[in-house]
Amino acid sequence: MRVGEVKDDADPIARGETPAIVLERVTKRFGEGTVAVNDISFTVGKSEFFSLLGPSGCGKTTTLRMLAGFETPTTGRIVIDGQDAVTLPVHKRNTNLVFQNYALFPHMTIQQNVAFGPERKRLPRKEVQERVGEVLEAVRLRDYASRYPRELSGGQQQRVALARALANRPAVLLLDEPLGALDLKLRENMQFELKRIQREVGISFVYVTHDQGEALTMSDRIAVMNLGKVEHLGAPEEVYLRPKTLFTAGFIGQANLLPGAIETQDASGLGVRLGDGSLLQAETAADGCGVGGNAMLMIRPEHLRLELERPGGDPAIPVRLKDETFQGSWARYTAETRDGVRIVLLVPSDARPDPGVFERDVWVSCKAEHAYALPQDDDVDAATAQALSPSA
Amino acid sequence: MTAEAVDVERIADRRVLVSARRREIAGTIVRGAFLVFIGAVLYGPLLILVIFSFNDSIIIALPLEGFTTKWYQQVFSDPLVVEALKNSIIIALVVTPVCIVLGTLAAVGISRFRYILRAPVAGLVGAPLVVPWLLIGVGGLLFFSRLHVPLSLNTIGVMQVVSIFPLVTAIVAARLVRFDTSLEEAARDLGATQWEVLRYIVLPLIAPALAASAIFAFSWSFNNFTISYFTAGFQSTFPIWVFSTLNHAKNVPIVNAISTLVAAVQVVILYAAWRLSRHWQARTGDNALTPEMVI
Amino acid sequence: MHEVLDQEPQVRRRSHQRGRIVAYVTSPVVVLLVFFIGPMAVLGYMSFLKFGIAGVGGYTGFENYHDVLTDTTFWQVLWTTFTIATVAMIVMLVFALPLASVLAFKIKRFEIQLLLLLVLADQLNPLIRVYAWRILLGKNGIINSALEFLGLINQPIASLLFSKTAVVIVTSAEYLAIATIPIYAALKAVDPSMLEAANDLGAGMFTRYRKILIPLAAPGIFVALILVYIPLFTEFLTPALVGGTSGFMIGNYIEQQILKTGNWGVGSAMSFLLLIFSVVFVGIMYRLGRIGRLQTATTTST
Repeated sequence: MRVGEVKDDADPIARGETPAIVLERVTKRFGEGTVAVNDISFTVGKSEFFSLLGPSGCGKTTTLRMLAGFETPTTGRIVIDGQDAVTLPVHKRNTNLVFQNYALFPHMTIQQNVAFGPERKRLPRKEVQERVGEVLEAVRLRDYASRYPRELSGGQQQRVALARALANRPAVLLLDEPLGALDLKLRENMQFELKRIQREVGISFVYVTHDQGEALTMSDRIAVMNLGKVEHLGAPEEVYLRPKTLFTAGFIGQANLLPGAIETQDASGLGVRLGDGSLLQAETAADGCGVGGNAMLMIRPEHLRLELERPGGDPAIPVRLKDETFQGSWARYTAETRDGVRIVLLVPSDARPDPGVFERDVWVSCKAEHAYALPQDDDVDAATAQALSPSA
Repeated sequence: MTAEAVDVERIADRRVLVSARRREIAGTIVRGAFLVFIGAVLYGPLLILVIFSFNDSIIIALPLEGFTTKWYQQVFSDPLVVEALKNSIIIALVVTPVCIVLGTLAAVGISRFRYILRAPVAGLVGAPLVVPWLLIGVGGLLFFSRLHVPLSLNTIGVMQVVSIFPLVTAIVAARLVRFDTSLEEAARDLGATQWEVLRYIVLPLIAPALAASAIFAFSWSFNNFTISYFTAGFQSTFPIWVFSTLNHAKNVPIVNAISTLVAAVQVVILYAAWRLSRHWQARTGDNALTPEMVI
Repeated sequence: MHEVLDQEPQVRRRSHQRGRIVAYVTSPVVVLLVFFIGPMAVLGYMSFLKFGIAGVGGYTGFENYHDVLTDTTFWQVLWTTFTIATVAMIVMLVFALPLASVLAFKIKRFEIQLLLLLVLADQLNPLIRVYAWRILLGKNGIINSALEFLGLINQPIASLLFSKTAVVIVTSAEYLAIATIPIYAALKAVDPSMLEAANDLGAGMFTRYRKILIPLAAPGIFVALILVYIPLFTEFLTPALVGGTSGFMIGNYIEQQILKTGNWGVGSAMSFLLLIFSVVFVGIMYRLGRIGRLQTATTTST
């Protein structure tokens, strides 16, 4: 059984390395009493791709700006590359920020833009030129060196912004939703490029985004944030399959959240009695689940199997299908359980049932290994679950 | 539908089209005539002046007598004119940089920060723009006499500065408001000190606004009459010289000549400024000279 | 302990900022206080003093103002000034509105160039411009000669020069550019297809003007009024050169008091009254035209 503490073996401290960044109990309060960041702590390893993921207003950008030096924490400690950073002004820090709107200097050529950082360090001209050539080569824009930013496309400007930051050889690269303005195809390409560059250069990336797919694709570890707090910090697999909080469960990927009560607990997992009477097995669970307590059963839509006849083997829930949306390789169905809980399931397009299925009772089954239980302690959780449940 | 009915319809359509086209053409002609009229009103008098500056006659009236450049020669041999021109240029050369500096300082101080006294400061800076120049001139005269400061080119310069630097503030502030502060943050992030940010990022990018303000301030200072008239001592500026010449002799052709020259120089300067602004726009995509700035 | 230490950077930053604000704002403010507020204060102060041929007298209360307000010449001149300024303003608007709308909507290719020509016209020396008009308007001037030549009149129109008409004509031409530009700017912020839609729906030219163009241009018109009317009202150069005795405006009257008769007390009283009028006028126009909104609109649309 894997209920209980999950070992976070991606954490650099757990691995015994010196981290590139340490945030310790950092809080940021703004004038009128708004708390943007509420007592968060984490570390970032030396060559780690670390993401801050969350909805707008969750505090991820403020955190990033505190790392860059544009904001000062109200309380708490920040250590960057071994140096206490809170007293360090922006231009002295060993970090560089890739801005969301690129912030390329419009009156300078690409070459001058990228050379700006090294020049401020008073490096000899030869070395500056070498570095500029190096990074422009890495982002494959060497031929554009004498152009002006306005002559480049969005994706190209993006890469120049990256090159400009990397030319300084910072200990940590900070990225503020850099791919937001790009179209889908370009975004996917850039995700691949960014990951490749990070691997090649070997420095830590702290990446802010609200796109959970992006975070899952690129990160070594993700900090899921909400309302100034870190909901879950862990590797992408863990965050996706075994989220620690309801918010994380709902935010990452699509999740069905079914409320129920924990009836049994043994070596093979938890037995959860749902509202409509069905009993499902969950092989894994988050901390805080015990017999007699309430729980939310999390099942990803792709893990629910549509059974047209009452299944004999795996436990199943009787439902009524509500509607169908064709999505290419999958068809998405919304359904409702006997006690009114909405769920979403995905069926491969070539296995779709006939239209008459909407008139009949059908069942959805789920393997125990795909069901995950989260504690549901109070009305707050219930409200969160409602808000996070996939809309019909 | 019968063939006949279709034909009638087609003819009707064509007539509508023709009359619509005729209306369009008429509209264009009316508009063109209107623009020509406006052009005549704005530039006609000047052209007449230019023509008469080459006219070989003391009297400025038709018919034209003959071509001559003697009035131009007179211009440069008349010490009063040369002196007046020199004074105007000197004043303008001094007033312009002072206005740029004061105007930019005020613009940054007002648009960049938030503080309690901001509104009154902005009001104070904007006040000279509301007060008629006549009154600024009169006020200046009374002020200097009260302080027993003799009137001179200096007093002219001072009052000019006070009248015009608020406009520089307006122009520069308009640019600063649009300024992308993430550029400054990026510069700091890349290791620039506050001073380097100013030097490499802010100043170059507001340079067009500064240049436009400079040209405008110089032009205004050179052209200024009302304020200068009241605060001038014994030395005169070019506009003052023209005024007193016109008041004492009915039409002095020498005025035509010098006016043509001055106008020509002003046209050249403005054209140069225009070309520079286009070049800047092509490079950075920043629209430097906008109508709002001229207001 | 952590909390106390980490408060410092924030506090240090705030006082840093205050220092910078002061650094920027001090010199302009001081200059203005001394050389702008100073003169205005002296102006006000002088208006309460008695001035004779012998020189400065003593405090005389509101006597100067009383003299001014009971002076029939003053009211005559004021009335002349008002008529000239208002008529000129109206004439200007009549031409500025169509000019602005043609520039804003109709010209596709040469818009910027024409706009620049407009700006250029304003940058030329006003002395030169007024003088050029004086040549045009005289009895032997071009306009009269041309009209006679064309046979439209038998003898030259005397009242073209050294009259109220002259001042109106010349000032209208002088300030036309300044009046047009704000209206142009206001119209630029408007979608041109609105006029076309109106045309399409059957509105004739006058209706289009009344119902659509003028309301949309309204903020610009108010700015034009602010920029032009008070300078018009306080004009001194133009009436001096082409106004003659009938085109004598308040600016000339004040100049006479200050520079010719040395009657500084009365002169400053008049000036101060004019100052109050200007400020009130601008304030009213600013409110009426809701100028604040225009400024945000035009700056964000660039």
